[in-house]
Amino acid sequence: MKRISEYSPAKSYKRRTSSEDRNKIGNTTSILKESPETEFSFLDYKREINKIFTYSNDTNTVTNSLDDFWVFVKKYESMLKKAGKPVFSLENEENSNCESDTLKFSKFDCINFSTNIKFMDNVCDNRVKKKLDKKIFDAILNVVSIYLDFKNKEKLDKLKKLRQTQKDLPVAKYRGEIQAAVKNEKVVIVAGDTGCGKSTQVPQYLHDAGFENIACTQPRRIACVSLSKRVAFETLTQFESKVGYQIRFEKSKSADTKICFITEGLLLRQMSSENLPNYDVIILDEIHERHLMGDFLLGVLKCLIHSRNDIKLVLMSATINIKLFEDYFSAESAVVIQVPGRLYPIDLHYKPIFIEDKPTRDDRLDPQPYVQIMQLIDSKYPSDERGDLLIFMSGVQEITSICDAAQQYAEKTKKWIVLPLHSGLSLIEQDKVFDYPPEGVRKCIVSTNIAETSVTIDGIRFVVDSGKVKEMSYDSSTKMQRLKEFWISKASADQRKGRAGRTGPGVCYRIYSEQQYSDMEPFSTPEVSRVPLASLLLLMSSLGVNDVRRFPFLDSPPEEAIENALLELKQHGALSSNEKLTSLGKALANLPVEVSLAKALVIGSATLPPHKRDSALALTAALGIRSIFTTRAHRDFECENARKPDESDHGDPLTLLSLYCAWLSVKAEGRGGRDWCRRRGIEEQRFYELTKLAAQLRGLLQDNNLMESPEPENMSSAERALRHGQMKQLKDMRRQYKQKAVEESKRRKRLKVDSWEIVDDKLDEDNVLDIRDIEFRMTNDAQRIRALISGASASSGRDLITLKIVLCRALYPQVAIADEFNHCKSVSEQLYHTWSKPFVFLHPTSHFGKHPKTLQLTEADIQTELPPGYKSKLPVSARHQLLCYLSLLETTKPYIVNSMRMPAAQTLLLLSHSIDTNMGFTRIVCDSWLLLEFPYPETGLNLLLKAAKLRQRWDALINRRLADANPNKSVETELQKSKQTTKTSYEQLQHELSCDISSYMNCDVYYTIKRLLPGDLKVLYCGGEEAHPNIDPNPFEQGFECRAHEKKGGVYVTDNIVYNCVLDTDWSYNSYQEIYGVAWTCPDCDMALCLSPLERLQHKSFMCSSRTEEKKVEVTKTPRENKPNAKEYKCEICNEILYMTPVEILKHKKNCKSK
Amino acid sequence: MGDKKSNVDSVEVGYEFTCTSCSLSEKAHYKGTKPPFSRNIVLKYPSYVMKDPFSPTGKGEILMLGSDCSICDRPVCISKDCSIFYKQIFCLNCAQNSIEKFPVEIKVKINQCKKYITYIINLTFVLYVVSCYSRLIYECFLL
Ligand SMILES: [Zn+2]
Ligand SMILES: [Zn+2]
Repeated sequence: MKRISEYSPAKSYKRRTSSEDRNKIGNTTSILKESPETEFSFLDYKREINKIFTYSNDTNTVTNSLDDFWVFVKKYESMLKKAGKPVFSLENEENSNCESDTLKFSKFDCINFSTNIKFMDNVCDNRVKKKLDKKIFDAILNVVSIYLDFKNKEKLDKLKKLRQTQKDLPVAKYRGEIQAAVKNEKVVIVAGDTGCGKSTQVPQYLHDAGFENIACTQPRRIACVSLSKRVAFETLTQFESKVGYQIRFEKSKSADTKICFITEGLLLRQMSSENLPNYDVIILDEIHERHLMGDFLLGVLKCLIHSRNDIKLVLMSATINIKLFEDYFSAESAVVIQVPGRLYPIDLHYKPIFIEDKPTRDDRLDPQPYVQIMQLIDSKYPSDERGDLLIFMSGVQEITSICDAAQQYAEKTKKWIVLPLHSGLSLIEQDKVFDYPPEGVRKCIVSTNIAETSVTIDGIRFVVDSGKVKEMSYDSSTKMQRLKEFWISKASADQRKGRAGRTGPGVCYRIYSEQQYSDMEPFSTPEVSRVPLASLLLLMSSLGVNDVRRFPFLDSPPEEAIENALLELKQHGALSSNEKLTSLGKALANLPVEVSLAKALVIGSATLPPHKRDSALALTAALGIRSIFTTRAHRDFECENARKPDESDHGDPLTLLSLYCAWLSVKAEGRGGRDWCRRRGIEEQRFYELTKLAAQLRGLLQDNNLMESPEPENMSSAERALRHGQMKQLKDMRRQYKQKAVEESKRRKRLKVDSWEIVDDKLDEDNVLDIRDIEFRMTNDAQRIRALISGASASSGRDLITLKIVLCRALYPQVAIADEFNHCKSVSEQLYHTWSKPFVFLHPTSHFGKHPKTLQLTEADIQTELPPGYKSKLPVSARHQLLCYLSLLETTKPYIVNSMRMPAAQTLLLLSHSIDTNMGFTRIVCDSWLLLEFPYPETGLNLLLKAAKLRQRWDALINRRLADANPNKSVETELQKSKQTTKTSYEQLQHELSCDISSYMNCDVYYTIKRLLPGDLKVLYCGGEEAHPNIDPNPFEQGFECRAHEKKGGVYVTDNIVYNCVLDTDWSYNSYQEIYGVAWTCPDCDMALCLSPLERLQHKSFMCSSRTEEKKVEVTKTPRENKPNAKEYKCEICNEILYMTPVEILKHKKNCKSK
Repeated sequence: MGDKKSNVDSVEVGYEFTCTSCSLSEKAHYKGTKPPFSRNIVLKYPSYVMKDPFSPTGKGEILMLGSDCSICDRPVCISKDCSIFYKQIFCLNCAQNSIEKFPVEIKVKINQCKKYITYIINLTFVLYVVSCYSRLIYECFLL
């Protein structure tokens, strides 16, 4: 007789009545003679009894759950009554006294438990009608014993059931073999399919075998959490910290932790931090998935176990391609232990429905075969036989079209519930696939390959396999990701099929032919061959891998991909030209976001003043997480409208930032936020992730000395008290939520037949406590949120410009220029060209995809009165713009994703890796790609000079930050440092720089911009044959020794500017001559001379007599936005006007005096 | 118990309890009649007790696993398939061997268990017979 119902106490008591235990109680009561007091009930004494129990000051099963106990008493009494026995009689006690007679039976002798809570005569309480006496109390103590016994049995059964399930797992038979192998060998491979129990059991086996510090990696964060919970439960330590986990945003781990589930990425970072925890076993789980990090980790560990004899390696994989891993570790003589899966027979059908092979014209998917299979199932299998259907489709679009068709069929038959499943869905929607359908109704889950290995759904009996998958591939030369449909591999097809046989015999329908199956590749392409490698290579360098080309990859990525990734790292300055890690590279490797975003952070923290750094953090975090928008966001007109006020016409990254700030404001007002997000088509979860990621990045930057740690926030005692009260309330709410969640999880929700509609859950969702909101408010108090808002917002002015250029510098050379014919094309036909790939489109959901006009010149922008002699088909304007973008993505067309507009010439001259100019600085070529022509004399020169100077100051600032972050801690440098205190403060430099950058970016200069084609480049440069004179003195960078450029000709005047290598056109030659011919009067010293533009520059920078005065004028023009309590202060000693807080003023005074 | 005492606790763990009947094997924290984790709960017969693994520590909840049989001294768990409790604990084997010492209510119980066991033995035997021999023997058997 099964009598355990683990959860609901009420239910289990009820069941008990029907079980053998009825006897037991029946027997007991047979002793109790009929008594007139049939109306007696212990419940009448509840108050007093509770009082005594509580007063006993003990914690035990009864006192911990008095309510539950009384429910039990009620059931117990009604059971006795039903059996016609009295609940309590005086003879009861007499009976229990005659213990001498062994054959006299008492029910209570069958119970091992007894309670010795002392009876207390409560002071007379008049409100109580019936008074509790010692006899009644003793009787209730007997009931307590029965209760304790019952509870104990319940728990023991739970324990036995757990042990039985563990024993029944296929892997259990191999326990000894696995333990012995790990003890004796260096590398052990455990191969077994999902459901064999290896992920939960192997760590326990190893712990039982005496290993004390076990790391077990998982490719997914969520698996770390759920596995650690499960294993803690199984080791009976769910309330201790023996089993823990560590993932990107959180950890639950202590010194006691023996088994730790950790993400692959995090373990790698632990290895780079030089203090790898003292693991004695490292288990790598799911290595067959062939993720980038997993593959790399394998290589790293392969190297590690050669130097460390004290670490054992256990690899766990599905039974896919075990040979590959075995061969990879053949030098380490890896032992393979194969655990047969628990798979039921599966009936396989190829092409179950006749499908016409003729390709449809518009390439659209025909959902009919899938619906016909549903019909087939309906006709072949009676609906009272359970079993759900899982359809594998390649992508979201395909899923939607199948769902629509299946839904129509389901509405007719009422026999199906159709549920989509893909990673773009909200978590609540995803969770629905685990709910139960009503009797006689089957679930039809239409999924991407997410259900192949990542998500396991029980109860699947039918599988339909489309044979297709949409996979991301990466073209490293254009830096474009491609989402394309492929035939799956045989291994994938078998995995999909296997999903039908997990809970019983199943059926698999393959839409394709058997021939097609045999034509498939044996295994899927590993990630390492189809994703960007820059981050990985940077991480490798920082881990000390000297030559990444010779790293022992499981599968080597294409050579070209490695070379391009190395080039990219060099362009970013993360690697030096001889491929050594630079200090910038070191800083970037520590940040768990892609290289360009990491760079934005490092540059941002060096460039932005402290009170604006949150904007860089929030911006990079926003770009670093998955899209915040739901699938509805760009389809639903209402959503688009609701977002409009927060949309920035500067581009998508800034829209993200302003949406985030708006959400923070909603949070600050305590208005929840979930509804706000839903109305805008935003997944609120992403904002929480964003907040966490930003906080984590801030922490990392502070740890790496790239950002100052904040001063502890000053709270008044009143504020502190308020916050304390809030925290208490929030903690209560969290407790409530957790309780509810536990109850909820006990009964999986039942699906309604029409539950595909999203409208339904809106109602019940709102009543539920929002745990994420609670947790968010626990970590972020109102003050913190307000600080975040003011720090993260950058909607206008200097802050916006600085933030934009910071991001642009990090993303460069990812910029795009509009096609010259865009003005006469429709919105969807707008073409752009990037440095790496010509002819790309704007993504239709991006801001500029919807508003391309913002990027085009208006009539008023175009200058029509041009200097004599200058002719061009191209428009002359000061308003040319570039797009700076995060990534390229090819789906149906190549698209630019996440773009931002920038003033063209200013951006290019400031950020280009190589700038070439003619003699007169009228033709300037940026990165051998874009040609700028400045028709007005000297305008090009002035802009370039400004850019060069700004760039030097900016570089110096970043380098100083990096140098301070990695101090060589020798006495000398410490001494030097103390001398350097006289250096201008960071804040001063940052302020000046951002003022100057913003005036530079806003300056009006007229020019044309042209994309150079390979043909143009051939006739662009004068070549290295001619000798070029040295420029001395060098007005671009004083002390920079000029050298000739071998191929282009001309000379370097800075690291990236080559002077006099671009050939002149007739116009530019004439204009140069003209300038040379006319006497020029220096605006500062009034000297008049005939000078070339460069000579004029030299005069101004080095010879001009008024030169000494020009500096130090601008600084105090604009007051620095600083702390709110800062004010203008004129120091009487040094006569400077400063903006400082009172504390800073005091410090300053002190300093001044001491000098 | 207190969280800080984890070291002390690990010393405390000393009882490897394995049921001789069903081979349930757990680490007990205490053996005796007065589990220290819960003052007011007393056991009538010395038993193996662990702190309840299913409720938070420090709540004083216990899980009694079983005891050594009062006759043969071999450990048995409290599951009804392994032992019977009547003032003392008896493994089912010993209970059957000295069945006459028990009051009638317990006898019934022991016999129920016995019946259950023989029923299972018979059933397997029947199935075996049916599969190997003829239906005739099966019918004889039923008679
Ligand atoms: Zn047992
Ligand atoms: Zn015995």
